[in-house]
Amino acid sequence: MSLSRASRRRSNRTRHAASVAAVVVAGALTLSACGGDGATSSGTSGAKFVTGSGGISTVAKGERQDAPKLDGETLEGEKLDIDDFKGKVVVLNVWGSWCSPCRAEAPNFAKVSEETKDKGVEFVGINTRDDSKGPAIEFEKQWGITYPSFYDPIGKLVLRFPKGSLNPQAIPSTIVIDREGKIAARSLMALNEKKLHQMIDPLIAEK
Amino acid sequence: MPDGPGAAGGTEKGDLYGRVAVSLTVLAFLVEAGGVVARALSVQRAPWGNMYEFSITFSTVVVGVYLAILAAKKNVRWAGLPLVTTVLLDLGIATTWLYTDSDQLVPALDSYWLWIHVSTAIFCGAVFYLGAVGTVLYLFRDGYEANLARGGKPGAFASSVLERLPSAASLDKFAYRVNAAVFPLWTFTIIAGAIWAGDAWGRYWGWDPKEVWSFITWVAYACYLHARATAGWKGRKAAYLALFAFGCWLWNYYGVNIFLSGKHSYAGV
Amino acid sequence: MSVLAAAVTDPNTTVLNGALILALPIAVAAGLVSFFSPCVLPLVPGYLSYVTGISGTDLADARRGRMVAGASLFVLGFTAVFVSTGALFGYFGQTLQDHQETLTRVLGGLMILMGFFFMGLMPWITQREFRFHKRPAAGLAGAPVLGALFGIGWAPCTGPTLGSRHDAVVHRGERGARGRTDRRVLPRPRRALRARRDGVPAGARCVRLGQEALRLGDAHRRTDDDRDRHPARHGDLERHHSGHAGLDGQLHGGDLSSMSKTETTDETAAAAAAAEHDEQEFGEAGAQLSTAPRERAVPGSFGGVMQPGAAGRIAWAWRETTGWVRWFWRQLTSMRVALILLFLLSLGAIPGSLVPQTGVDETKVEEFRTAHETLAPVYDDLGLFNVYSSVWFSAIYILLFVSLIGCIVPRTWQFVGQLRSRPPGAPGRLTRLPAYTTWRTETDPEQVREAALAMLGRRRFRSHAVGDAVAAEKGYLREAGNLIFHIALIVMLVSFATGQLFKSEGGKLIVEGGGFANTLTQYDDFKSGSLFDRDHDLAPFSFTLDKFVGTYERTGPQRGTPRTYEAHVTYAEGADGAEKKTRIEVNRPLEVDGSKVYLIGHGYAPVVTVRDGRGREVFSGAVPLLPMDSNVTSSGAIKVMDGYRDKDGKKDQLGFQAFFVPTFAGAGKGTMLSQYPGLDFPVLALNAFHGSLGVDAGLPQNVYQLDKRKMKAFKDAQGADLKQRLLPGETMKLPDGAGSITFEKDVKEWATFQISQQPGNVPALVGAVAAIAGLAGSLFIQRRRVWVRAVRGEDGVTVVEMAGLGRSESSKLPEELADLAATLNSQAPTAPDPAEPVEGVRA
Repeated sequence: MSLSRASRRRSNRTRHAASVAAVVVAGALTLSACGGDGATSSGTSGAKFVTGSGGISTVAKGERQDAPKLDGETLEGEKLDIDDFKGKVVVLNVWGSWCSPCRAEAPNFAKVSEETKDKGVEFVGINTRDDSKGPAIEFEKQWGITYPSFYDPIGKLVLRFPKGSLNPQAIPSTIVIDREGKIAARSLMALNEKKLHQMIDPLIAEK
Repeated sequence: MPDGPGAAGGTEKGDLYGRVAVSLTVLAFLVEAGGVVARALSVQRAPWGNMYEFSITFSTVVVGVYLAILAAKKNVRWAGLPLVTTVLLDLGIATTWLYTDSDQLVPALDSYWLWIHVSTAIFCGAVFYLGAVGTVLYLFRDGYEANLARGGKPGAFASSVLERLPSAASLDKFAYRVNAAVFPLWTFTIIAGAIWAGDAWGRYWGWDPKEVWSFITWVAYACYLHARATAGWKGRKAAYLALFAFGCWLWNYYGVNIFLSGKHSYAGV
Repeated sequence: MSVLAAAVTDPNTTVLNGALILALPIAVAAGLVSFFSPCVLPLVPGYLSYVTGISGTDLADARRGRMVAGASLFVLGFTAVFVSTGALFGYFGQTLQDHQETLTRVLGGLMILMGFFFMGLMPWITQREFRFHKRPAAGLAGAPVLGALFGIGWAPCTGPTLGSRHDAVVHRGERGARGRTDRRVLPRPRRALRARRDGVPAGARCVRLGQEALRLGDAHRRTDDDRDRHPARHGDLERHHSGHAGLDGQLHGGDLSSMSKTETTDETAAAAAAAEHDEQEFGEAGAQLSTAPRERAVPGSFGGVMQPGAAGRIAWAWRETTGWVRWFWRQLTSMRVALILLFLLSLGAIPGSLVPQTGVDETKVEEFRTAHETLAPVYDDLGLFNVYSSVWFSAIYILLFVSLIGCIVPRTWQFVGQLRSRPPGAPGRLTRLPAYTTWRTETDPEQVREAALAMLGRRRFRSHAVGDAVAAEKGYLREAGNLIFHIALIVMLVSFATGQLFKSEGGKLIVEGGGFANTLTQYDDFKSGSLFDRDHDLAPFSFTLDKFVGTYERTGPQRGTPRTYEAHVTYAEGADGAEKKTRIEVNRPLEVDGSKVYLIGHGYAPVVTVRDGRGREVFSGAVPLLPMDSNVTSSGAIKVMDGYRDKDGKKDQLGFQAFFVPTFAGAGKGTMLSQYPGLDFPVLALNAFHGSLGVDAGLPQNVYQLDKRKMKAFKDAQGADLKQRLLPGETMKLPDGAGSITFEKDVKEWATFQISQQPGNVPALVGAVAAIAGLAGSLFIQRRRVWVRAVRGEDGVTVVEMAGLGRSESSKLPEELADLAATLNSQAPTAPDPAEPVEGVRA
């Protein structure tokens, strides 16, 4: 009868629709089944930056975002503002006195900060998650850190970094801001001298 | 096969005894309900924060549902004996092993969801239990009817007890209706629990053992309802599935609380 | 002498406690008793015949030697069984004792189950007969085997005496050689001794039994009937499955066709033809009323005939693959497979509740791994520590949902088709429908039909007039509810998956006075879904913990259980939003900018000050310690990394292991554990180390644990490791002018928070509500059809017939039809009639 033929034709169509729908949902389900247990996602949205080997990300000159306004009190109690360093390359290092990798990279930072001072490079630290200033100040003395560090125990300064920018995501993190006040590079791992130079030398060369 | 004459066996004397039994059940229900209310007053919160309180509420609700169905003039008096016996067992366990003194709530249970989620869980359990009683009696009755159909002679137990039960078809229908009626409420129980977990523990589903076993119970009853809808599974096969599902519910209540530790362990049990 | 007397007058005590040499003859006597029991004695002739290989008639002429040999081998057989069970149970006696309660309960349950089986439950398992068709050869070779089988099989009969023997030995074994009554587990050598002791009395009994067998063997040489006898058959208890199933089908079949077979009144050929015609109409009338899916089988090979040549081969291969794919799809979307998958889903979820799961309790998983070294890697391979994200579990639910979608989409189209078409017309003979009523009225047939149409329309039936009848249908919401429910399940799953993919969750421990800003740098631990963008997706907000308040029950049996937990916080949205104060409690998280902050736990952070040898302060602050029990007994480490110089002025690092109780039991009470979670009597116990903490190399270290590998303990005056219990305000001095550590008169509290964000909550909730509503509709609403036929009869009076048809489980149909009939009857009243009224409602 005509009714059954029509239903068969329709059922072919619906079967096709059903299989497509099933594949789509199955795809979503498979993704959820592989749901991240701590899977680190690299911010590939828009891919405005490139993550090189060694975990250092750099941004091409034309695509850099403005660094946020970072101002506050240092560990020594003085006022500090990054805007004062316009025209210089600013190396921001997020650290804590309790953090082992920070302790390992501290002598490197102390040395490079002294070496590059006359090339127009300012090192600024952001000390965070130290409940009191005491251990942080002792840390600076211990490793010979001469550059100033903001005292930001709960991370409100870090919060100022805009979404999607190369913001600090680990401790230690190092962010390099170019001479125009734009975010140019980021490392989410501890740095030795060589890697630190790799990060900042190209930006020193920029005019 | 027509329904049997009922637990009273069709005699007047039996009917008198039956009515006496129902009256005593009503009295016992009132007393126990009073006990639950008294416990609620004593702890100044919803009386279901630990297993003792669950058990007494559960048995009250089971008997209450049974009496309500009786009051609606349905023929369920045959369920009275197995029901009351097991209620006695439940109360025995509750007062001997599960008893804890009155105490206030721990912070994790201090929420209005306690009224909603736990009360529906208790109600669902009571009705599932009624369905399980129907299913078990169905299995016995079905065996008895098959024996008769083959021309065999049933033993003394069968002819005095099983003959009085409703027909296997009626029992099967009863069990199915009861289970199907409360299944949506069980779905709601799980969802209410998930919403509460979202507020209390930060995630609405975390595969905690009680969550897992509620889910298993739900899937098992879903399996039973699906199997029933497919004609070939009416009868004994579906009945076994229903019993498996109720077994999951029992394990969910007793087993998970006592033997497995997870976020649902409070006050020791 | 007195011992002998005691043995005679009180054999029980002798058996349980007395000397072995006296117990042996008693055991032998017990064997004798067993032999003369009704279980054993009547079977002796048969066994004898079997073990000697001599038939009863030949026994008279048999050689004595063969008889002795046969009987001895038989005895040897069951002796082996009894002695080994005795030894076994003796060895495991203590274990059995320890688990006595569990065993009792399990076996009790088993007994109840056996009772049910006896009553006839599950006959297809319990009334089966399994037989080994290989028998030990009659004769001497088979004698020991038969003896062993006898020993095992007749355990219920020999049990009482044998059991008491074993019991005696277990108890005796427990006491050990020196007769101590302590029941602790004995060291290894004792166990072997116990086993041997148990074997001996069992052996003695076997000897006795065997002796009797030998003696009787002689006596039975003249017995005639010695045929081997099998145990009684269960023939009459067996079930006949085919008949049973048939009865099932008849009793429960809701199939309309079966109902039609039960009633026929005319037997003429014309009637038979009419019946066939009715069948067809019946089928149409009931068409698609039940929306249970039909199975479609696909027979044969799919490729069909292969044409010659490469093109033919390719075409055939294509047809074959598409055929298989279609077959697979049909199987997957069939109800049977859906049932199997559902069942597998419930079974597959079970291991996740019994094996520790990584996502639920990581520490338990670690404990399991260390405790079960061989089993843990197997579990890892099977994915049993992560059941719900494992491959096999995902496969089950993915297949289930694919099957679901494959079934739902066609059914939705089918339903739409039903909605668009009209209810089928009335079958010729309405009398065979399950609900039926009829009466005669003087109203015009046309008017009756109009009235019926109007009435049914008012009752929200979909109705239309066709020919001489009105056809109506109601209850579409049942199928609609069914479809909504299943679609809602899919919506919920997709929301759940989206939530998992885009969620982020992390924890943070905050001491009073501290705070948290929602950036990755601040989390203690963090995990996120695969599609979560860590640069972009964290909502910017911050909060500080002003105060944590925890109250506990002070008195009564519930002393120490927590009553309230409150975290007083000040929070701000964005990098510099306005500050607001609020309270976070266990069931009341803070919601800010799409994230939720939950209060999870709490503990104490005593404030300490560390000074070097010159009295200069090198460290001062609150040190959070982690709780170990419900009374917040806590432990942790205090680390001074920079700024400390020892008495020679050299840079050094200090480490202290800290143990803190908020309410100390008191000196000399024998326990260091806290007695109450509140700060009633705080005590801090410390020891001290100096050296290298191991934090300078760059590897992250656990904040709460001290790595002492490169550290040396400070020693006290006696040369032991320096340690001291401090009350608030007290100081522990480090030796040789190395400095001091003071426990300040301040103990701060800390709280742990969970900060999470998860999209897709609202769609999941909507899906859940829709699922419940759809489910209720699909289970409670009945789909039914009603027909009203009005025909003018021969005498000019209209005959009105009303009939209804529903799915088999419906019982409200007759009531509804009666109600409709009453309404229609009021408008088309029954005509007074001299002939017999045909009124009646049949259900």
